Amino acid sequence: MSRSNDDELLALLQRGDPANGHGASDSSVRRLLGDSIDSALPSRAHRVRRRRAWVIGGLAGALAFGLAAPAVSGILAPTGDLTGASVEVARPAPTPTFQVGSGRMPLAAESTEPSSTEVENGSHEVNPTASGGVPGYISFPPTDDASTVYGLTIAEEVRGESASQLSGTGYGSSDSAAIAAGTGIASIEAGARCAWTQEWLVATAAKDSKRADAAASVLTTAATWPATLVLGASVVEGFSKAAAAATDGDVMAVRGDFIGSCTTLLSDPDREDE
Amino acid sequence: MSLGQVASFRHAATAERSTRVEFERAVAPIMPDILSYFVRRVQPREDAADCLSETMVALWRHRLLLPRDESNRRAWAFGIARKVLLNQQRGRSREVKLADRVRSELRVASVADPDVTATVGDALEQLNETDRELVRLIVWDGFGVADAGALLGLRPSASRMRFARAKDKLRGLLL
Repeated sequence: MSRSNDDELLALLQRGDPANGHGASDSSVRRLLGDSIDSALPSRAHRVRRRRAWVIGGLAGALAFGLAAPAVSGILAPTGDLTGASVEVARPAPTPTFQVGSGRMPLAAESTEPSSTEVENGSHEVNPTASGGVPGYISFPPTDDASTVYGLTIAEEVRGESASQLSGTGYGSSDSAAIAAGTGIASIEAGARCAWTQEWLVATAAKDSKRADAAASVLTTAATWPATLVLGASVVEGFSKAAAAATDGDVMAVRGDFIGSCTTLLSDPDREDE
Repeated sequence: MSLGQVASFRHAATAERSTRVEFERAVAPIMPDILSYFVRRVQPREDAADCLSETMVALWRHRLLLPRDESNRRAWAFGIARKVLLNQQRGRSREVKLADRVRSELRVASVADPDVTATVGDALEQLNETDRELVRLIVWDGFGVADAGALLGLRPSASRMRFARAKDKLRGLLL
């Protein structure tokens, strides 16, 4: 087939593009971008209700679990970013079963459930029973310690959203790393990584070296999970440094990584006017 | 609230604003392409505005995972857009009431060359769904053959073979 023939066909196809002259102005598209971001942020009243719910939940958790909740509070409070008043936990449905990868991931025990109706399930897109689409190499901390609820909730949320996105796309069978990144597997990897980071922080505060070493080992592996690799060398380098910090016992560095990489993974991370 | 907490909240607010600016800078250049992607595939055409808005929300929620590399970021955004499109085609698109202005602009816009558009559209309908989408991604959305195939879960060799076969068929129909 001649080149000119090929060019003629492609030119004709391009002339037939329905988007030629589609008419939306750049300024309108940019304004829509701003409006869309605004819509993804919760209202102030919503944030206040959720913050109140977290305070109640945190108190109940502290009473129920004694050491664990204060331990994580002690780890994270100095930053001010994760004090009880500012962390927004999108709570899943009560007592979900969560079988993924090689790890079992039950969320917070019933005793942390505030009895009031003030708790809002902000993670309305979460599908806690879905299990499709999670690669076998991804595991979650095998713990039901309430102090890790924050990291586990992030994992639950991104995993639930990603599983719903994966359904019906047929992307799961692709061996393309770029597609893996685009189908939500990177989100699942990120959620699992956050859960293991918090697992390390809690274990280190509790001076449980065996548990901390196990978490550090997973974090080292997590830096080279396939969808993470696609995010670019700088991301991989950052994750590798955080894993090395965990291996070296550098609490400040791991805490910084957790705040930088994990705290805004929740769908409603906005705290700007509080 | 202690002074330390106030300072922390201010720091968080500044960081959040900075994140937002960086996000908008990273994705804004891709958005016209994503809008075109939907205009080519969504009926009625003005619904493309709602799909675009939904894609923007999804990208924002996954902003920490946005690839830093520009071409990877574009492919990532199209991957999200494809999922939004699939949901829209299943009638599961959420009501998004943000896109009125873009909707109205799309409603009044006319197709540049309606006869050619109709002829090309009819010819593309003769291809199977995968080949049709492969041709659209390559010719209209500007992806390379391998990248377009990757978006459809195809190996590069299979993409090349399918694209060559599709062009042969289209030549017979259009030239």
